[in-house]
Amino acid sequence: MSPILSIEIPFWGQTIFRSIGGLAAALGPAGLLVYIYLFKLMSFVQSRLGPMEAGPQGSLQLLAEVGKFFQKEDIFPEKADRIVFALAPFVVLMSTFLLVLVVPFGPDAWFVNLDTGIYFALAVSSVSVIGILMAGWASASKYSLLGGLRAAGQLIAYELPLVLAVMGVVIQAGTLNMQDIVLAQAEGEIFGFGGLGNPFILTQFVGFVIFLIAMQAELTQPPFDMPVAESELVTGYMTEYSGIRFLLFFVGEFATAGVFSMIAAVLFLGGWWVPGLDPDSNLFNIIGPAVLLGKMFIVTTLIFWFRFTYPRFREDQLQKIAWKFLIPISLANIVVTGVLKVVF
Amino acid sequence: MSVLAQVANELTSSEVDIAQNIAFGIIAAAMIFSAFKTVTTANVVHAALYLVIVLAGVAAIFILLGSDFVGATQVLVYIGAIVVLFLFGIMLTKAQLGDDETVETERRSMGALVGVLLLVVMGYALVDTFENAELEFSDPEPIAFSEIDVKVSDVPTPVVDALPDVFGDRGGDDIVTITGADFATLVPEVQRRVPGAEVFGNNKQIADSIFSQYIVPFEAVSVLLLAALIGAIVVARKE
Repeated sequence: MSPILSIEIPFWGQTIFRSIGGLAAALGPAGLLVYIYLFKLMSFVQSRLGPMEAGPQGSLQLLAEVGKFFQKEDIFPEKADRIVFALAPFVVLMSTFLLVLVVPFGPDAWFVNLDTGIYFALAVSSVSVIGILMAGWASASKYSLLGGLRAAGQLIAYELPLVLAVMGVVIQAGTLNMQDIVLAQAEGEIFGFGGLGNPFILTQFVGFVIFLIAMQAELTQPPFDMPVAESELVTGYMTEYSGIRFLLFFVGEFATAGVFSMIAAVLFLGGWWVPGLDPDSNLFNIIGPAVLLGKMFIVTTLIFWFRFTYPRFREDQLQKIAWKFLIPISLANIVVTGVLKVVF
Repeated sequence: MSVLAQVANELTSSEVDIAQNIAFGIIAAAMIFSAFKTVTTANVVHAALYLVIVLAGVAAIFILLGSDFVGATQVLVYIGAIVVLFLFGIMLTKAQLGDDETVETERRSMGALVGVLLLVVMGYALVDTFENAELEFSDPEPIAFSEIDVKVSDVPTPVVDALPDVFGDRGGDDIVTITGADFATLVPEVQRRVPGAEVFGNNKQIADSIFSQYIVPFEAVSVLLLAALIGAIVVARKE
């Protein structure tokens, strides 16, 4: 247990705290992302005000949106496979909540400190494909089915560069444990200079770029949003969903964006650590979550900047980028990293 | 001591076992139900989805046994790749909703025969291996891999200062054993700072055995998979 508060909490109490913390860590950033980026930054990029009526600067718009979805009827298409249709959004959301478990927020502030941290995260992130395929199939609509198939093809293709980009970091840190990856960056040195530690974005820049591109595709954010391409497929696998189940998909999309950005921040930006402070100090249990949130916003700004800037790729271009560019480059990155690891 | 008190005593000494057993029972029941549905349902997509539950149950049991690496691999490979490929294939070819009338039932007896044979062979192997083995009650004391022996002179001063209960006024070449709660919180610390300090966890054991004892089978499987990959491409491209 954390020595920060010397209170003995029974295991069930810790479990409740961790569950609430996990919900907050996944849903809080999702709400922030929707408001800051989708409502405000997107409006700024497109030279308009965005929502202004609900609350000061439209800050309560989010509540209005959520309330709107709660009021709407939860419609099931007549020919849909009702059980599979109803469960699909929960499978997608489950993958997000499993993902947030391994993110460390401070030396003692973690949900689960798994030995296989990042590997576990990459494994459970692939579960969301099942939910998307379930939604696409059970909707009994050709748009949904096409969207589901496109999503599955895309997610399978981009999972490889995602995993391979992480390999470079794992080789450099010598561990799969998220906490130890943070510490490896805090205690690392670049050519004998340890003042900044060694955030892996410096030594693994290629890996970071590949991870970012693959992440964009995994999140089906534009320019990789063919599965929900509104001009071709209405909204892909979400076409038949309405009301609260649509909201669940929507929340899942943004919560996953937040959690994946946190993972990128842990892997490449030093996680909860800031240069100049002792990574063992108790201070990080308090400021760690805020530091990680700040670094998360650096990554999400990049994601949403690309989202608002680039037009959609074609399906064949998408597959070409993954298989012909990203995967060979990330394999080369692994080889180079391995050689350098042995040499130095 | 009354029998009841004795039982209660045993219960507290193996609380983890009980929680584990309950969890195992629930997972096993869900797995058996889903496995039956996988082979009996006439809806192909449902069969694949029930298979997901079976495979997730296997992963859950691995995690229950403290083997999170194998559990995560199970999820990544079987759920994330193989079942997704199944679903992908089914939906690309015939993605009809509802029961599939053309699902064949004539080979069911053959399938049942294979299933029974498999059960007999595996059951025999299990009984043959563990016939006379006695299960040890889990010991609440720290087990072997949660201990570490370090020389005090190898431990950096900040760590020694942080652990007055363990190190006391010992120094120099004294060997200190860190166990239990101290291990859980502080050994990662020591291990990080003390080169060569060996801590045996599951992942390390798996890595050690794969890349030393089982290196030849491991490489052979890799080559086999590569051959399958190339074969698939050759079959698919008929130019």
